[in-house]
Amino acid sequence: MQKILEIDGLKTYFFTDSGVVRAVDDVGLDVQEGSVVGVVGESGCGKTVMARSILNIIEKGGRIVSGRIVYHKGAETVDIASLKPTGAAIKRIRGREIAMIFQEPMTSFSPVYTIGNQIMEMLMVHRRLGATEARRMATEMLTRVGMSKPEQRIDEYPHQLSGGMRQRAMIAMALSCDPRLLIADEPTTALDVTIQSQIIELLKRLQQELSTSIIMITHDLGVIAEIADEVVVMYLGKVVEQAPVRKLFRDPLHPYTSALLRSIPRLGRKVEGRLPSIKGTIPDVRDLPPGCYFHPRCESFIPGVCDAALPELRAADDDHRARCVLVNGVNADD
Amino acid sequence: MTDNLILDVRGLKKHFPTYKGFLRRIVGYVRAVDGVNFVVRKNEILGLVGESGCGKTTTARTIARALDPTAGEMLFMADDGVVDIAKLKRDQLYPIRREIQMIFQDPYSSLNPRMTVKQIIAEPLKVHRMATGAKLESRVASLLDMVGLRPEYMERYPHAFSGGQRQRIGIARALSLNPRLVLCDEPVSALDMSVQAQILNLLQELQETLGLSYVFVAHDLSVVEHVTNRVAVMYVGKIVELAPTEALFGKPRHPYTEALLSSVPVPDPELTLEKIMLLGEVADPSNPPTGCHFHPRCRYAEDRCRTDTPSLRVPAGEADTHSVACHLAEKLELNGVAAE
Repeated sequence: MQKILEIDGLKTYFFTDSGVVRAVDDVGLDVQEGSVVGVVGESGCGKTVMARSILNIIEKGGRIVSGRIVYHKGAETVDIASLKPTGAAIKRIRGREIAMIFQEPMTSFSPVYTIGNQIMEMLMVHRRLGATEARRMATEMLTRVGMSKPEQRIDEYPHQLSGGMRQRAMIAMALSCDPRLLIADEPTTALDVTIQSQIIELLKRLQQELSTSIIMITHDLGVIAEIADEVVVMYLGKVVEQAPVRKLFRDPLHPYTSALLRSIPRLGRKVEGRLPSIKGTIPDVRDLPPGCYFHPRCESFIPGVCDAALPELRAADDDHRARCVLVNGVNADD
Repeated sequence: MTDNLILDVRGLKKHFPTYKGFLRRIVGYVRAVDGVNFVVRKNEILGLVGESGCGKTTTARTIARALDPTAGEMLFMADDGVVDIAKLKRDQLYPIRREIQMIFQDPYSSLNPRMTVKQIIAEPLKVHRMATGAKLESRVASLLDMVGLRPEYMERYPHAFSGGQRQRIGIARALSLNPRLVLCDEPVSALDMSVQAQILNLLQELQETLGLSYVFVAHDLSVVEHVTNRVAVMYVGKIVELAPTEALFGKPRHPYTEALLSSVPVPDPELTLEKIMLLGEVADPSNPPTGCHFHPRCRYAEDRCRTDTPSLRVPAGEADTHSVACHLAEKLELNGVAAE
C-alpha cells in the first residue's frame, strides 16, 4: 500500500491574548491509500484543528508553526504546511484532492443557494464541466448517497432538508470531485442513532466503491470501532496512542485509552454497580500540568517520573505506539 | 393510587399549534406528546428514550409544568396526598416545584453566568423560604460537598468551572429543596466521555442515598441500559414499548426498539453484527402516518399496520410488566443485545 498523506511533527498554535494555545503539538500520522484512519479524543485534544490544518483552513489567530503535511500524488509530493493558505496551489488541492465534511452541514452549505447549485459549482470550478453536465453529475452523486427523489431535491435549499439528508448532500458535494482523501469531522454527532448508522454504512460503502481514503475525526469510540482501520488517540494536542483498530481495543497501552474504554457503558454488557470512572477533568490547554499531561488523572501515576518529563511516543511493536513510560516495561528504575 | 408509586401519568397529551398567514391562524397541531401512560415508582429510575422529535423532552417538561398539558392526568403522590399536577393553576404550583426538580442537558446555558455558585444554589432555598443567613450558607456548603465540589468554591462564577463541574452545580441546585422526583433531561450528553461516567455514578449514588425517583431522558441507549430500572421507548409522541430495562434490551418486542438497539455503534471492532438499516427518517409529528406511526420504516409491516393504530398492551405469554404497541408482537421473534 502506498502512503497518500504523511503528517510529521505538526504544530498548530493559536496566539491569543491570554497566551499561546498549543492546539496541535508535535503530531504525526500516516494515511495509506484506501484506508480509514480514526482520530479520537475529547474536547481540546486538537483533533479538529489537526484536520483543518491538513486543508490549511485554520481559524483566525492560529497558524502552522512547524512540521510537514506531505501529500503524495503519484511521483509528485506537496508539503501543504508550506503553502500559502490563500494561494493557488492549496486551492487546487482543497475540495479537488482532499475534501472535508463537517459536523453541522447547515453551517457548511450556503443558505441562499440550492444544494444543486453548490454541488454544481464544485464540479464547474474543479473539473471544468459545463452547467448541463455538472447538473447531471450532481444528480448522479445525490442518487449515489441515497438521497430520495434526487431530481427534486437538487433544486431545494439546505433548510428544506432534514439533518440526515443534509449530511448526505454534504457527502455528495465532498465526493463529487472524486477526491483521494476525505476528512470527516464528527459527521454523525448531530444525528439520531438510526440516521447515524445509515451515514456510517454509506461512508463505508462509498469508501470501498471509490477507494477514497478517510480521516474520521470523532469522540465516539463506537464509531471508531465500526469504521476505522488505524486509530490515533489524542489528548491535549498530543498523540498518546496509535495502533490498528483491533489492537487498540483489545490491548490498549496508554492508561488514558484503557481508562476510557472501561468507563463507557456498553450495550448488552451492563456492569453491576458503578462504572469505573476517570477522576478529575480535562485540564485547560493554557495551563497544562508538568510531565505527562494525563498524570493528574492517571491510575498508574508514578511520582517523580510521570510529573517530571513528558514521555516520548514509544513503539511497543512495529505498529503500536504509546506516549507512556510504562510501555516496554520502562519504569522508574532506569 | 398504590403506595409505591410517585407519579401516575394517564393519557398525557401536549399539542403545539402551528400558525400560518397574516392573521396567524392555527392551521394544525404538532402532536409532540400524544396520549402517553406510564407510572414512576418510588426509588426507581425510569428511562425515556427515542430519537429527536419523539416527545421525550416535552414529556419531562410537561411533568415539571414548564409546559401546560393539552390533556391527560399527572397524579403526583405529594406529602399531603395525591395531586393532579395537570389540573393545577400556575399559582398553585409553588408547593409542587419543591418536590419535582429538573436537571438540564447543557451545563453552559443552564447556569446564570452573572451569579456566583452560592447564589445559584441558594436561590431556590430563598424563594421557598427554607433557609436564611448562616443556615443558608451551611446548606449550600453541604450540597456542594454532596455533589463532590469543594465548598470553598461557592464564591466563584460558573465560567471558572469545567462542563462536568457545572453539571455538578446544576445537580446541587436541583437537590437543594430535597425533591422526591428529579427529571434528568440528557444529563450527560453534553459532557466529555471521560467525565460522563463520574456524573452517572454521582446521579446513581444520590438516587440511592436520598431515595429519589428519576425520570431519565436520554438518547444514548448504552447510558440508559446502565442507569435505569425500566425504560419507555417513544416514537412520534407515543410510547411504543415499556419494560424493565433487562427485558427491553435483552428481548425487545417492538420492531422499532430492535432497530434502535441494532443501530448503536459498538465499541468493539471484533464484533461485526448485522445491522438493521431503518429506511427513511422519523415521521413528522404534525402529520404522522396513519395506523402505526412506525409502519413506513418497519420491515415487518402488514396491511393492518397501515390502517389500525396499535395500543400499548401486554402481549400474550409475556410478563405483565412488559407492554408494547405492535399488532404483530406475538408473531415476531426480535433480537436484543444481551451478551452471549
